[in-house]
Amino acid sequence: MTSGETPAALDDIRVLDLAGETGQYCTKLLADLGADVIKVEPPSGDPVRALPPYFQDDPNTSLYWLNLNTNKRSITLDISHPQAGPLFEKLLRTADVVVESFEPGHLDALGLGYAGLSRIRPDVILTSITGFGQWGPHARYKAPDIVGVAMGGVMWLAGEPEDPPNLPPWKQGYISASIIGAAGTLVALYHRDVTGEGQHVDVSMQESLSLNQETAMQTWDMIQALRCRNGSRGIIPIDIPGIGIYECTDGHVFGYLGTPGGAPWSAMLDWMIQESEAEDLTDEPHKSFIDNLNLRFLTGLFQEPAKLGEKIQIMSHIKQVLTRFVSRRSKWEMYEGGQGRRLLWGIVSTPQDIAENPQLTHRKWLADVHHPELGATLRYPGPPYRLSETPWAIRRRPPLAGEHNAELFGELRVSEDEWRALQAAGAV
Amino acid sequence: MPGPLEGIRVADFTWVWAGPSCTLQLAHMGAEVIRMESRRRICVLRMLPPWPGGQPNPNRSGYFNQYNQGKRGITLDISKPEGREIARRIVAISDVAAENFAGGVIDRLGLGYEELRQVKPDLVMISMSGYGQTGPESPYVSYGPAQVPLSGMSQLTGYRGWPPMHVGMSYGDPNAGLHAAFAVLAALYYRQRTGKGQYIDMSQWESTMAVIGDGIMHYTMNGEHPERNGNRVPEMAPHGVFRCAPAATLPGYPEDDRWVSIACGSDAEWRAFCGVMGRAEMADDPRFRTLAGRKTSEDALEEIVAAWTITRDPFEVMELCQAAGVAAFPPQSNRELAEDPHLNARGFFVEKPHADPEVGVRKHAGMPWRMSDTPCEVWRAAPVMGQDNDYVFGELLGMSSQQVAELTERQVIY
Repeated sequence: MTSGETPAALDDIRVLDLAGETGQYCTKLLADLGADVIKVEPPSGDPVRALPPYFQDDPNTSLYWLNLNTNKRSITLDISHPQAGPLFEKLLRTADVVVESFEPGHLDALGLGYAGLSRIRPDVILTSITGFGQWGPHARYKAPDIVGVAMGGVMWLAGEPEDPPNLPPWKQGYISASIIGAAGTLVALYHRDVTGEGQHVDVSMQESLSLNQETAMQTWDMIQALRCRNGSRGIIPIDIPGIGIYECTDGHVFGYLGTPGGAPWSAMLDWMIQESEAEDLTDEPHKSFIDNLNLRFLTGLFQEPAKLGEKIQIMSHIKQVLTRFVSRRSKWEMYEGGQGRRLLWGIVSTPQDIAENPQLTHRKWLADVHHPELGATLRYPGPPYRLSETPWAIRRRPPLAGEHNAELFGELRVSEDEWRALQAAGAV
Repeated sequence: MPGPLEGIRVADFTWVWAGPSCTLQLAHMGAEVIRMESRRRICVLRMLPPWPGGQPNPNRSGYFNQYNQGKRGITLDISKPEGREIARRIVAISDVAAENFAGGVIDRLGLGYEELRQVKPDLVMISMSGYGQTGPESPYVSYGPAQVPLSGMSQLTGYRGWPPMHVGMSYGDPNAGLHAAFAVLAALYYRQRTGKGQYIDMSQWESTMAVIGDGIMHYTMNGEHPERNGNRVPEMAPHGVFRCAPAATLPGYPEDDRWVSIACGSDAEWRAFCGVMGRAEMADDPRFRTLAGRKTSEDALEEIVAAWTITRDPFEVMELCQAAGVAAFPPQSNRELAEDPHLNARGFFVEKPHADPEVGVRKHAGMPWRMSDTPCEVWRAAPVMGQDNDYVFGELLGMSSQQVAELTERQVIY
């Protein structure tokens, strides 16, 4: 549903969104590129609406839910109610895609599995997003996000070695599965437009996350080693100066020095010399060590950390001097001063850093959306990508529960009597 | 290549991890992806371990081979004018072009969208730089590991009261790659309807921030910074990772590094979990009966759970809990994942012979979806450098073997 002149990539697609938390980012991705996504909520409202954080402590206004439901419309309809069938059928006839995240078998039991849906709408695409996929020995296991990132191998890589594996924030299991679900949905639509055939797209959160494990799988397959977590040092299992999180006067920065594309480590030393804070790093053995600190050297360390020997002390000393240098500067001094020398120092951004960043401001990344019923304009995260012809846009604020009941009943030519009867029966 | 994108060709200028993980998705769906590489500047992933036998070799990197399955590979030096001319000819017979150099680099090479659309008017092109193609920070140096802290993810990751923490791998890369593949598919879908191509400017930074959206809104709307809170969340308790009974795994690895994640949302799940622990009476303990109570007394709650798990094997805990409808699963190591019975039963892993016999047949993570009508299959392992030179330069571009030899001699094909 576009407004104005700008076309949207997916504005001829209608999606029925039956998804819980696991799949709501999927339908958001589709809606933000213009698909007409209709949330089919239970009459009591989508339970995800109750999850924190809230807008100004109001438990009826979940920021978590709002962020996942931009551009969608809402109808309240209990699809498991015996009298809901005919209305759902009408709705389905107008839809191209159904997205769901129920336990496998749940929709089949209602007669609304792929077989049931495709009887009503033969070329429908059903995208199912679940923890383990539709079949296999663990298919019916419960899988909230923490289980997803645990079973997908991602959590094993995060945290301090002596402490528990650490959850990445903001439900990345749901997010990864949702992106994969959105891509699977689109390629199925592409295929439908060529052949006229719909299909069932079965997405597993475990498999979606397993794709994100970097070298972990091959580290086992090729050299039978475990990849272990390294805490604040980041991804390299050895304390290498200039790689990892460092404390500044007003927060933290992340260094990733000596990698290809950027300046060599010696440019960092030049900076320290220029500020008269190089201490004894211009002396041997530190100077030569710094001159050799590049990807080839790091790769060698990766291979045989045992051979490090006396180098550990040299590295530890360089790191101490660098830690002192960073600790006297602000995040911005490190970021700008570093990047000006092609040294990769990045800010460990707080949400405030993001909201105030000049690059993001220049690109107008944050998106303001007016909510008349709140009497407020909410500031949303912006586009993950910018399509030149069919831009990402928030065209419609997230819906109130059942906000589009009347509108959709009108579109579907549901009579007032039918509607009243459904209401009386508790189906809408 | 069989699959729903059969007939789509991708001119792939990407390198390192983010870009190739985008084109991997397209290859998985049946597109013919032609990766253009050069010996002058070998892809970073080819230079990174693991390698079979631990011996470095650019054709054998498991890291590279994971994210370049099912792609064709050619060697072409696009820093040379003739190399760029050949690249344009490849774009002219392609549908999609993808690159992930720093902002502005592809334009300076003369291979930007405005130039490439001259040879392929309905081209879909995606740039996936670190910071986007416009703005003051556009040319800054970027690598995936730094995108995690830049996006705000590290600030929100870590134990309570500790400094920020990295999420343990370069999450900004695959996350950008997945978003990018979706954006390309949307543009291809639009092109199929309208005949129009377009340009996609993607900032890896922006796509990483997009996945921590409510954390950002919490600040923009409430002026509050969410606190690091380890593995806890507001809407479930218990919700954490608990240490299990020590056991020998592999030589050199600590025996006590064994854990299981457990999460109870509803009071019914909590009740079921109490039954699993053999502590049915605790379900009615006024401290823990409701979520609010369990949140208030979470330290005490976690002590009870940890005392139960510490004498048990993590997979035993998983089975006991899941049988009772309680969410639980061990944080799987790479080995456990490779041996996971469910993933193996679903045929998730791809095992195709690699052109280098020293690599042979390896086990790679495969497709994260199953399509009922258009099954996707990885048709081949990742290419060794220049494996498809004859096919692309000869068969697709119609060069004679003499021309190819001459270009190779002058290190244009290199």
